[in-house]
Amino acid sequence: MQNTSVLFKTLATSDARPIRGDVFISFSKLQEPTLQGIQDWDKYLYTDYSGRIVDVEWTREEQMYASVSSGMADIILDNHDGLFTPNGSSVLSIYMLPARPVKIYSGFGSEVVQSFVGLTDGMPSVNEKSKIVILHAIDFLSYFLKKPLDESSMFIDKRTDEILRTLFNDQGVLDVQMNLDVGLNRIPFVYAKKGEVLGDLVFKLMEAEGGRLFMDEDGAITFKNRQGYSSDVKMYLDSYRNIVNSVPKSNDELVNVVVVEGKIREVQSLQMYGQLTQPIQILHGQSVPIWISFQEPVTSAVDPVYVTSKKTSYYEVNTLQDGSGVASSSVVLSSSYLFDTSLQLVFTNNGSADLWVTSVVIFATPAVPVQDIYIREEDSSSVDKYGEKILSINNDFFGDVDNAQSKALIILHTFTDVGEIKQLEIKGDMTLQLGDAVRIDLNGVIEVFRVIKIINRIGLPGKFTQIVTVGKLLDNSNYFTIGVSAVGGTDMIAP
Amino acid sequence: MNEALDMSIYINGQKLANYSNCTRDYKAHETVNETLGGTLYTDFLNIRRSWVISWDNLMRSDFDVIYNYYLWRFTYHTFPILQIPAFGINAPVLLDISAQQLKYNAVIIKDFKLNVTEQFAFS
Repeated sequence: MQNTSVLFKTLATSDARPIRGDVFISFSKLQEPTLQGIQDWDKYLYTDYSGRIVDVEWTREEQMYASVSSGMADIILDNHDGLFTPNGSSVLSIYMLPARPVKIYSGFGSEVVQSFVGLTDGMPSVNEKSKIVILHAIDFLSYFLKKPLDESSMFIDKRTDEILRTLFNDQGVLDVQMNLDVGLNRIPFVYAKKGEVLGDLVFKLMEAEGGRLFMDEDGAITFKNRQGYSSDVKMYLDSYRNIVNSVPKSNDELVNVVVVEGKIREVQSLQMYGQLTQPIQILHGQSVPIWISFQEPVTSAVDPVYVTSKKTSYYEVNTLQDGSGVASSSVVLSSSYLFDTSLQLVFTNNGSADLWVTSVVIFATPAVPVQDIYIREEDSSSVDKYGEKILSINNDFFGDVDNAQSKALIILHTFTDVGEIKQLEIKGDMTLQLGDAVRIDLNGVIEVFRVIKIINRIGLPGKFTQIVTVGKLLDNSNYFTIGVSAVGGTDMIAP
Repeated sequence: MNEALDMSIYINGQKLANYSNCTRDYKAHETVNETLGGTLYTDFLNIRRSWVISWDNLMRSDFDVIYNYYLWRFTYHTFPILQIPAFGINAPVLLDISAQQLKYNAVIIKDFKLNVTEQFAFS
């Protein structure tokens, strides 16, 4: 739960609660350079539109099997005077554009906490008849995750947090804007292709790590490793005091068979790994680029030299295409640039005759699959009861087979039976967070669960609704972790 | 003995004709919730005050004063100010008027009601 005052806690549990929701938006996106905020989004000049709130809803949710949390908000504001109408006559009309920074605060009376920070997604939707405007917003993490990578990156023998830090740094996020646990999954090789959507890559990283990535309520990108779950109960729920409704979830989300497939890649030692496929002619005095393609990404390649030794990269030049003429050293390598799966070499013919580059052989360090992972785990008793509910995971970022197997067993342990996911409408508290452990006393059964989704809504007339989805609490802090746990120690193979 | 209060009502500083009746109402923006176990709790945003001022017989000239303030928001795009000094009220208000029953060649408006709603709720 978010830290807050004693008064906040007192009001949250009181009989008659003064609900408060505030919305601040920076339509102009003007920044105040003197504002000192840790996060960039704190530096915008925001205007308070709380007096116009008709309805405001914000949601946080973890993806079920790979915990990348997304936050979104829907804000409905009174627009009786056309203030928010695009292309209208109001002073704001020219600023009615996508990607406007939004902050939501919520709480009780004078006590509020920041609940959401993000950007509007798309144009505002104006309802002329109802005189309202609807703004949809996503949190900054979701905004980043939708972006494609500008450049390719390779990571050799790095932990999850090290990779995340670099990926978000590349998006302009500073280290002080992140709060990253030390990752427990160390991956021999990760190749992030240019153009790949950041969210797809991050999803795979988190799927293999078994941790959580989310933007906290204050706007810090936060990564918790698989040991970052606390079983300390943050909220006590029972049908007498604070459970308003309980909705059973269907067993569609059951998983009783998990199949994990993947390849473990490792960077190999220097070896012959690429060559020219057909001779290329270079006219005298001319330069020609030659591309050498590699089957797998390479982390380094040795520039070819005009030598007879074939123990390193080399090239051969001849007066004839088939190499049967006279060898020549008049062609020199002018430049080279290594891309991930190709090498560009520019050769220049300094001679007085036209010549042929008849062969180019490149020695490189490729990252190739060294091990296939295939794991199938099932809970036979659950299969007998409900039939097979298969979850297939295809991920190359499991550092080793044991890690992949642990992942399969953890999922089975968590999702093999109905009733392990519950959806409750409760007498809410805005400081409740994803991952919090909650103790639920319902129908005489007392269990501890973990919050995996929260929907908050404040609307007229004074209605605060909080719907939480909870899943089985998994205390995986004692599971064996490669590189962390000691062989012969007390940590066990998960679960 | 309690001293009689001056219950005059003013709009934008102009005193309205003496009225027959004034009813004050409080409306809470509040929801009443019930837990599965039957415990009640409420969530509220704020409270809004409103008044219904009625005249059994209102002179046409006095009606015109009220009618001008009724038109205020449509003309000036802002709310007029209600003042009831006896209760320390000084607040922008939304004015609505009832249908007018014209009597005696429209010299008298019979059973006329002015609905006054405070613009800003309080908490």
